[in-house]
Amino acid sequence: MRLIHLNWNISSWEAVEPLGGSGNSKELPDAPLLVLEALPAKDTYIANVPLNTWLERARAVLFVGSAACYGTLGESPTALHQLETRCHALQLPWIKLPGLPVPPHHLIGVIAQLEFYGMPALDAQQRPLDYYGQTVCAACERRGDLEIGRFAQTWGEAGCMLQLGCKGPWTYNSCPVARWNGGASWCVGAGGICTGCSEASYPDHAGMGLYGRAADDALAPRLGLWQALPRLGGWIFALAGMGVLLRVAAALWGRAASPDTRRENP
Amino acid sequence: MSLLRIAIPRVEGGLVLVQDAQGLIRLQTAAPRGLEALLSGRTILDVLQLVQLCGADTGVHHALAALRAWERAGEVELLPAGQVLRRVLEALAIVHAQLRHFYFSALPDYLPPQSLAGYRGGDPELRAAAKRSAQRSPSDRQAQNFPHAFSPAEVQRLWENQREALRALHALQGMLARLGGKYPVVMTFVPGGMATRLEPQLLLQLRHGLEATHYAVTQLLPADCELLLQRYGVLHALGPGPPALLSAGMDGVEDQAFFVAGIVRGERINGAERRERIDDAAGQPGLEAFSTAYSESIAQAFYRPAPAQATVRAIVDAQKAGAVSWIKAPRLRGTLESGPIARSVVAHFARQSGAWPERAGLLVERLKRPVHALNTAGGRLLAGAWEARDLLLRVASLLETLTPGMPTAPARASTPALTGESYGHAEAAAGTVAHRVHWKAGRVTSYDIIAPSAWNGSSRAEDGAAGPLEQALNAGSHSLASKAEARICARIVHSFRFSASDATH
Repeated sequence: MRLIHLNWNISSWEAVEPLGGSGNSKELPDAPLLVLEALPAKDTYIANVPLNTWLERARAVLFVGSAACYGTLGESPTALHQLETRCHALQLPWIKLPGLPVPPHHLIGVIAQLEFYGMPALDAQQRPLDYYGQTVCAACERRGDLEIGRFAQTWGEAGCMLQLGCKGPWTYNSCPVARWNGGASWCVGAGGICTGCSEASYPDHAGMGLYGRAADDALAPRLGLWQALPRLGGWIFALAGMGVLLRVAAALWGRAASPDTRRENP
Repeated sequence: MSLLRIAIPRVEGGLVLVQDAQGLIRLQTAAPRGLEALLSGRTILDVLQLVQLCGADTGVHHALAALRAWERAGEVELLPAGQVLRRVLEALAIVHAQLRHFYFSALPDYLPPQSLAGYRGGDPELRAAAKRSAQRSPSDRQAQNFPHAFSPAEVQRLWENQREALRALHALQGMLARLGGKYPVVMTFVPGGMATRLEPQLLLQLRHGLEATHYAVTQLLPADCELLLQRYGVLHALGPGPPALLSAGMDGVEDQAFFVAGIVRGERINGAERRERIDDAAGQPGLEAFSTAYSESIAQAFYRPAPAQATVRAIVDAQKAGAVSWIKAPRLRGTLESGPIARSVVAHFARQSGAWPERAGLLVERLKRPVHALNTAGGRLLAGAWEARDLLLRVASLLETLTPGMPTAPARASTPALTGESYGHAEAAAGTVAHRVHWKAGRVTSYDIIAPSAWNGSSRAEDGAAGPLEQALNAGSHSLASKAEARICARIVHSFRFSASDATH
């Protein structure tokens, strides 16, 4: 498989020539995999001649990194929308590999998948489910702390970091499993939080920012079994109380009703 | 108008050299991403993450500069163990950058890929790669080959040492990830210290990592760099920069600081060397003067001054008449070069304290040049290699001061004044990082970043003076039409560790 890598930082200048060739279509390899990195700050992406040349011949497009995938780091989301529309018109499949930076094994894994098995299964945001199929929180090494309700209140403290602004429950990525730098560590493993870098809402996260804490209402559905137990217990207690009250009421009703019954049926 | 353009490989962000009809070489990069505007309205913790987008080799140091700006402004409790961990991380990031730069950015300018085809050593992977290299088509082989000055034994050694450097880089990345999460991004910087917990296994892993990198960094890197300078004597004088060198130094206790702050202007006046220092030896009081004194010219850059209430000082104007560059021009009474050679020379003039290794004196012996003219391609490369060696040795001694369980982050979050301004500096492998920040109600209102490659790759200022890299490129009347001379230009660019992404941010 031929890979064509276009980085907007380079391709906005004539440096793209070695990648794009002289424009003679005979020199272009058939059906390459087009790897796109970074986006322009202005809506001129789709007018880029080398890019269009490659788009018409590519078998698939791979967006690499959050800047290319979402256009929310100083780039233009409009440019991204134009490009997606163009891919759609050309019936060209596209895959997104977001992250800051994108984990290298995601890139290698997807290229291998495309080469040997075809298109991977994707989620609604065009991300491969193999790598973005579960939340960071689900496989986090501090998940047990969340379940028993032990939360870190300051940096460097043991416990789940949800109250320090961790975005793990909303972020889909394989960081806790695959880890970084040859499996040495990852964000939470080293003591930081997950800032949700592979989500489209990065870095604003609906006004929370990277370290803002979600409201308790938003956190409630994320709480695990142990956290839910007190509430569950409360409901059980309430239901049991209601049952007792109903039983007492029924008994009182029955006692009140019984003299009449006796009178009617002596 | 321009006559010739060549793309420089192995530069982050992409760089094109353009030569006009008068023979003048200029730098061309892509437009900026607008990172400074993106920081507006954000909290300091957000800033610590987002400034790392500037560049892979400098991200850690941008975050440190932002952090120091915040700590300078607020009543922040500084945890000693957290500060030491930061220094360890800072040093390891520089060591990583210098090692990667020499073997994978600079050395390929001298050692052609096709030289691997003759490899007969014992490394099985290199032998397999040599076999593949020998099987390439004649046109490919010709494209990958150029004359070099190494003997066959030296070629073999350099390829093997590059493999060893790769293993050392892997170990360094492992250490950096354990401290920061996912190198080149660090997730554990917090005001006052680090969020990393000082557990016994962390210290063991760091010591193990040091052992794994020791040989490559302290033995191979300096030796191979010296070999390069022996075989390419022209490097001693190639690509001379301006006679003014900048190091912003490093905050902290003198015996823990790796670098000293200062500016050295190397003119000779009446036979005596005139030098200017902007601070005292500890690097503290003078930094404020430096921070308020430097300016950023946009005379020949695609920007115009921003309105008074804007969140940035200059806004993009791609149609500006006469503009030729996307890189602004930071200046402090003229053009300044920063980087390892600048740090070495500044430390040389501050040597009375005895706290910094004397690299400049050794460079004078090796390069046979006066100390104020050491900033040539050879001087920059050798200073970086020696600096990496010294830093790794300092890290080993720093780790001795740590014991498991020491607190690394303050128990209470800092609360700086609601409205204020501050500045912070750091030294990255490529040079000086300088940040200035204004904030209101705990959120950034304007942010100003000067990256190492902005000092070195700057455009021309109002006085027409070029930046250090342009000065170096134009000092030798090189023609980009010649492949050999274009390769010389690439060598000069790489000696600066230039990053276009960092310069434009």
